[in-house]
Amino acid sequence: MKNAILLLALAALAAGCATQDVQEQRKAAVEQRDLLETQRKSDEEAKRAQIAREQEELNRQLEEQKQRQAQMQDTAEVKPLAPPGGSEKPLGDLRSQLKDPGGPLFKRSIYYDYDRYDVKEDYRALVEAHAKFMLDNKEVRMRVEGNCDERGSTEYNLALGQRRADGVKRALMVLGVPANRIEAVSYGEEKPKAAGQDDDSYSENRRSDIVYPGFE
Amino acid sequence: MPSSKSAPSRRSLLKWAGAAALTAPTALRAALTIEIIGGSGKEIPVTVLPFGNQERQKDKVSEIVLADLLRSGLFREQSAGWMPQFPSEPEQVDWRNMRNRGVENLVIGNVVERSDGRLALRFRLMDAVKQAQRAGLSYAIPPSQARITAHKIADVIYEELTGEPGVFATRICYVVKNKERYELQVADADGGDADFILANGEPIISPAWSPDGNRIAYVSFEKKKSIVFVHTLADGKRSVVANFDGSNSAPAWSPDGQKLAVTLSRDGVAQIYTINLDGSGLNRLTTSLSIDTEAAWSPDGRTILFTSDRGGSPQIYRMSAAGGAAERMTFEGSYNVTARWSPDGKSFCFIQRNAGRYNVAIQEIGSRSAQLLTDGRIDSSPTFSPNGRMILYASEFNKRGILAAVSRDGRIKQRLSEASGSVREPAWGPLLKSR
Repeated sequence: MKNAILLLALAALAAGCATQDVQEQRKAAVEQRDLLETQRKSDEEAKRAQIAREQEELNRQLEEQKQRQAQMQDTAEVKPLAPPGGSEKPLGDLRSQLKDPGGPLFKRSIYYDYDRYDVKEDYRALVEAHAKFMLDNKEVRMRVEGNCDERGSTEYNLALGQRRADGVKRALMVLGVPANRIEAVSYGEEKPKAAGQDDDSYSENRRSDIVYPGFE
Repeated sequence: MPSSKSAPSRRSLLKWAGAAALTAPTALRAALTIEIIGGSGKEIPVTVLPFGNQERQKDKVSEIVLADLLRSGLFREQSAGWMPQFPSEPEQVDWRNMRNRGVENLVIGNVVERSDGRLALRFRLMDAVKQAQRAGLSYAIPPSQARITAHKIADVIYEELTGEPGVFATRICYVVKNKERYELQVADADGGDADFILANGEPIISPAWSPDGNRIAYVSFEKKKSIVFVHTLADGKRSVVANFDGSNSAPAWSPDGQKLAVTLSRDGVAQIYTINLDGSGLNRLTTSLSIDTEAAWSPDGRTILFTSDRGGSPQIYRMSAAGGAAERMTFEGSYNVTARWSPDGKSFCFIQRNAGRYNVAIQEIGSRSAQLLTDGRIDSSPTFSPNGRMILYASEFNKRGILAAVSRDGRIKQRLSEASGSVREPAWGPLLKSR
């Protein structure tokens, strides 16, 4: 459509040129350049508009999520009125358990040696504490995020990070947590916690993090 | 084995929806700037005179042509000295002056603004010794195509003088990380005309060009996990190819452009599969208890190089494109990853760890020893130019991610950097018949 208009405009200009003097031809050339500029600008606008639409769609999704979230919080608020003996606890209670610096759930990171993915014996208590929390709170879901240091292949590190996350997930499953309540993902080397390029930073970045979406 | 259907919970969706949003373009992208570090040692002399009337144009064609040729490292500029008026046709050339100046290969041309708004652009490559034309073309183009046409002219001159195809009119893509914003950008091979095709608040990795240059497959983390997308450049439309439980990554196009090899962890550990572009026809190629990833199809489509740690450390292996038994290809050192075939299928480049450094190496198929080409601290993601002469890769300079290129013989080195942000994950697009 836009192109058709442009073509028509160009055709008209070209036809007009035959009878115009040189000065008018120059003027016409300038107008053509302006037209092309307009075309380029409208292309840019189309691109911006598309991005804006995508942004809008995301905002809409965000709004939906907010509403769902609000509904869920409403549900959570009526839960204390349920008959005694129910196993579910208010979310605020779970949050404070997770955030208690002295509590067993405060530590959420498991560290690894270079190119290794086994959960070391040192982390047995940490994994057991989180397994117990998951078994005690059946509505809670968990993400395990595997990470690597920046050295080497992006893709090999992505696979290694997945092995790390899957290893933690398996350990939790062995302790009875159902697989469908744990999502194991890898960020590979993409999300380093420490920015340095030294062994300490690299050690900090070879890590699986336990994350409780909605409770952070 | 875990086989949960766990989609991210709604609460986690809430968290990423804001972070992963696309944002409107800001200013025009800052172009990559290129610095040549070494030369071939036996450069071909070339003289490119300013084209007639080009000073009125935004893009000065002869300057782009000369910059392309010099950047390849295979040419040196031979000055023709000062002249009152630059010739744009052979009969205007003072051949005696050229001979005295030692000019051998002379490029002349001119630009005419036509009444229909297009540019008439012509050039000739002259053998100044024989006073004979070696190549010459004329183009009628919209002014917006002056830059790409200059690259095409450089390709013609390059091929005429070196005997191999030029790659100045090809494109590259790469990821720019600027704080928490990731952009997948596409640019001319010289870094010109850069623009982003995707912007994310989450990482983007492993872009791969389709063989026809019309699409790019990549891995985006915009949904808080790795998912393989295919993105069509002409209309910006994209579709999900692989979004299974666990990681979905390392897309590699089959040479016929019909399917992708991908790495999926859905069956327990990262393994290589093929999948059609619409997500159908999933077919597992490797069956190991180890990490198998980074598939690369040979140009004839018959074999696949990949990275596996089945022997205890990551090494390059080769298998049939139908899967099955694999043969180890690399034997030096305990870390050899990210194999990429040379376009002629006779060798491959990859990343090798040596004394704590990670560098680009090249190895002939059938040989067991590799030649190291680079010496950065952490080099990664090598990608061949489509004529096989250069290897583009990610490196670092002043603690920032940059792109660098090295010739396959290691003699020519270039550094490309962006004005801001960290550049990584380069992929060099294919040779195109026309653009």
